[in-house]
Amino acid sequence: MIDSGLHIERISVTNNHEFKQVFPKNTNGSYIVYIEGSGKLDVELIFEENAKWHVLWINESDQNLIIREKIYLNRDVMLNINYAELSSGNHKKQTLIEMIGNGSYVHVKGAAMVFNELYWDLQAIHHARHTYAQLDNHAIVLKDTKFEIEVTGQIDKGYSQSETHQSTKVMNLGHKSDAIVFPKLLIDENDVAASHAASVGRPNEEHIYYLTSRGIHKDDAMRLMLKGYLLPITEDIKDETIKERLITEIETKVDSQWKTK
Amino acid sequence: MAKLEIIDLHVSIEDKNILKGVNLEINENEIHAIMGPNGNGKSTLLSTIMGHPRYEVTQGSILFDGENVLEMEPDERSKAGIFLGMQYPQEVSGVTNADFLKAAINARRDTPVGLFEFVKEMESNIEKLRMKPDLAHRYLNDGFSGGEKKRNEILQLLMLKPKIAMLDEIDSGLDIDALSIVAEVLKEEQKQRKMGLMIVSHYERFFEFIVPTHTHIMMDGKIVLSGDESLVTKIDQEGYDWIDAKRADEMVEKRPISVASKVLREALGDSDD
Repeated sequence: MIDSGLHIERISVTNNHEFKQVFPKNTNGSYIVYIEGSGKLDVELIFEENAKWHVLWINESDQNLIIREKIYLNRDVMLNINYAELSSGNHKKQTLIEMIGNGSYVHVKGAAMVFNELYWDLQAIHHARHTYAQLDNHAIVLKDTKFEIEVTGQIDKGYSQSETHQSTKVMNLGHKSDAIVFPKLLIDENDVAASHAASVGRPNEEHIYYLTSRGIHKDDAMRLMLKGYLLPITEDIKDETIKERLITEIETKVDSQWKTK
Repeated sequence: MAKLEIIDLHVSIEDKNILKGVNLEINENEIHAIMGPNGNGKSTLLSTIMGHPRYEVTQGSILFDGENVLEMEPDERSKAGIFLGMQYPQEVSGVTNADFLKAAINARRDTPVGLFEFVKEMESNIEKLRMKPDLAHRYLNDGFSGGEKKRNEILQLLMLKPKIAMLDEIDSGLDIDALSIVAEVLKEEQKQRKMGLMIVSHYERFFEFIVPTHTHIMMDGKIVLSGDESLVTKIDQEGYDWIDAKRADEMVEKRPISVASKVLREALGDSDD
């Protein structure tokens, strides 16, 4: 159990690791978690009634890592959760967001840069009425890498007035890279709103030309554009600490790939 | 003394010949108007000079202050002092105007531009062009109206201070008030820095604000006629048909010369080429 306020955790994974955190009733604050190491990590986050939190996960593992994450949202929980998947290594992730309380809300915003392999199964499952989920992810897939993301919004019968939305944008930088998005909406109730948008594209040559025609070197143009691709994910983050850390993380990782000339 | 020379330039896109031997020389402090019906190569000429990767130069050369431009990347051409105000500026979401311009300015310097110095200059230019003050923080042309995009091109010109600037239909999308603001700013900048200008436009109105020193008519991938600013008025009043007719007459006159007789005349040193 933790109190309201800012908390920073570091999880070092070796072999099998379990991690559980309860966010008590009526608390609010910011929660930042850094993950490192290799192996298997089981995470359980329980948000009790009316807890209002902003969470940032930064995956710093550059090895093989499997993460299984279960997030429970009770009544009137408000959760803004950001993921920075910007490290090398082979990563498999499953994130299950179980919306078990009426009026619970989750907004996921993820930024990924794939150096090796990343598989991510992200699900928002609406088990209650009047629940809201928005899952937004932006990813950059580097040369000779593999990225698969499956995003599911599920509303079962009876959980009316719920909304589930998702958008995934992927920029593929390699000819031999695989980038696959599976957007899924599983809806069994009429009185709901749902939407999905997914795109996988390559850098726009006209944009590169436009930037270089102003004197910017091609590598710097790419650097600006890639930051521009990931940084919008940090927009509207109200928690300044989390916003700043996420921006720094994105900028550092993009700069590490495209050095300023 | 900046000089841009275009010599016998042939350009194709996907094996289609667009420019078929363009010759042009632009010096600093000269204002060249390039006119001609749509689809005759005006934009191709400007984009080729800037180094757009889609255009393939099949013959001829472009020199800037004696340097071979065709061997330079677009960023090197820009740094050398060439600028193209584009007809359709790209919208680049995620990259702010300020970050973009700072990167462009820093590319020209050994040490990065001071933040205060940069902001001061940008704000003063935004004010000159009567643009919205939040422009610096907005994404590059993203969601801009046609007129805003065109003003943003001129803003970039003011910030980057090229020796020779090419403007591709910079007046389209601007209403009459915006047109006079842009022209006024441009005129002052040109005068102050003796910048060379190459302006593609269909409208006489723009050339009333910025009076050209040279006017060229481009048709079928070539410059078919050059003159002074009076040519602009003639085009505005009479269109391009009279040029077509003039060219047709010339072709009729030349038609009787057979290949054999041409070879013979060339051998005798009596060529009309």
